[in-house]
Amino acid sequence: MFGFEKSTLRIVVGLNQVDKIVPNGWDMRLNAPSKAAEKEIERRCIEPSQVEFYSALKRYRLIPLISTVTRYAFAGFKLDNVEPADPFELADKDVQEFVAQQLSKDGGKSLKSPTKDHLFEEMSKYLSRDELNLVRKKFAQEKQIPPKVAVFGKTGVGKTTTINSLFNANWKTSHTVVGTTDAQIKEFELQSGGTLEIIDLPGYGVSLSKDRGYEKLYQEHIPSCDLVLLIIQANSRDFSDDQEMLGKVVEWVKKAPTPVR
Amino acid sequence: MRDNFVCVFFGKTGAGKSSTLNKLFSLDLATDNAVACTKIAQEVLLPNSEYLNSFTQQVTIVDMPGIGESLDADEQYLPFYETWIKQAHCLVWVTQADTRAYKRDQIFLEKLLHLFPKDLYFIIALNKIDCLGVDEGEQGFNLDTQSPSIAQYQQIPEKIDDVYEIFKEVIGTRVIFRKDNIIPYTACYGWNLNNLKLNIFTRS
Repeated sequence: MFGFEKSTLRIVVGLNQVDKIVPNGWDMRLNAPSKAAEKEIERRCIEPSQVEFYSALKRYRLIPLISTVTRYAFAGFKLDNVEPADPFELADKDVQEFVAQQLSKDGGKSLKSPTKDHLFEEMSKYLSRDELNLVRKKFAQEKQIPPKVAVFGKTGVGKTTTINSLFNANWKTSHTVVGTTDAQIKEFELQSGGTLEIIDLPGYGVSLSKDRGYEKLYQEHIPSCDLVLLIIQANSRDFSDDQEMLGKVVEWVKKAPTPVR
Repeated sequence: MRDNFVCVFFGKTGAGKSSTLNKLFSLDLATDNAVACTKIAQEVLLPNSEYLNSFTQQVTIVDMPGIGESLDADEQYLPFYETWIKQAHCLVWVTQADTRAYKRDQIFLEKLLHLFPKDLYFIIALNKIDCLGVDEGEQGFNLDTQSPSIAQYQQIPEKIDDVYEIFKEVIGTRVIFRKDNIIPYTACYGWNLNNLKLNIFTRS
């Protein structure tokens, strides 16, 4: 349904509220979906690379979500010190021991990706000293600007709640009437290092007149973003609004292959 | 005196049209949590004995495929909508309380408004009151009494006002539409469902 080209676009789709995907579909003890809910999730997430399912309210799979966000962000290099969550954290003890053993054997090499220092070393072979300094300066300058992530989606899908859960933001939310009516922007330090600038955009789909008013705001902010996190609701079937909006977002992002500042 | 009273159930996909009909008239229409399942307009003739009154010979209920499933599907279903809405005496527009997104409702209302018979009885069935969100620490739907919690009760008037403004913006004066034509209920637990039924048949 959301047919956009893989990995070329800086868009990630977050499927929120998987705890409500089927009635009584949440195992409170494990804080995880029940078997029936898991099946439903599978049915919905057929192309999982740029789609992450999670529940902001239950704080379920927030780490995979933030990892995917940083992975597909345009300026991911600024977050090169992000440490992905330990994939063996919840594994059985013997598995953890085995992993630790293997890691100590190769000195932890396999987990480390090439750093930017290697990159500069490599460049120094081809560039003059002045050129290299210029690149370094530009790089340092650029690093001062944190990657910008737009959180976007239909009204009430939990954009603000997602931000609150991810960054302990305490932004205001509402159940009945529209909560966010203007773009809120704030920088957040990631626990694993690095900073993200988050824009919380007012949701679309409220009414025809409201959407017309907001479209300008979207068009103004989205091309400048390193990533658009589009949130959709797991326990809903009406995706016409999302389809329509995603079409526009793809167009705006394609027109601005690098974030416009 | 009418020989046939046609009541059309219409609304966004997943709003609970089929579930509502199943509960209202003890029917057995297919329902699904994740995937749209009503793909064609389904006519149901209600047994006369139960719903017959002095004005009506026969009650026909029509369950429409939902809007908003995808842009293609919306286009594909349009002929069904056109056929049935022209004949409708009562249009029950099912929508859900646990959302704030009513633009798709507006778009379709705008598209179909010209088909509305002048004396159409327009009702908004505001489903899923049990799912009205409450703040942390507040009570949700009361399963023992099968009725909304105090926190949810307090939200209902605000919700109705909001829905009224949004629908009125499009309907204007084309048909009669007042705040008391919006009936909050939950098909899942049956709360206020009888009131919805009464409302439908008061005009039959």
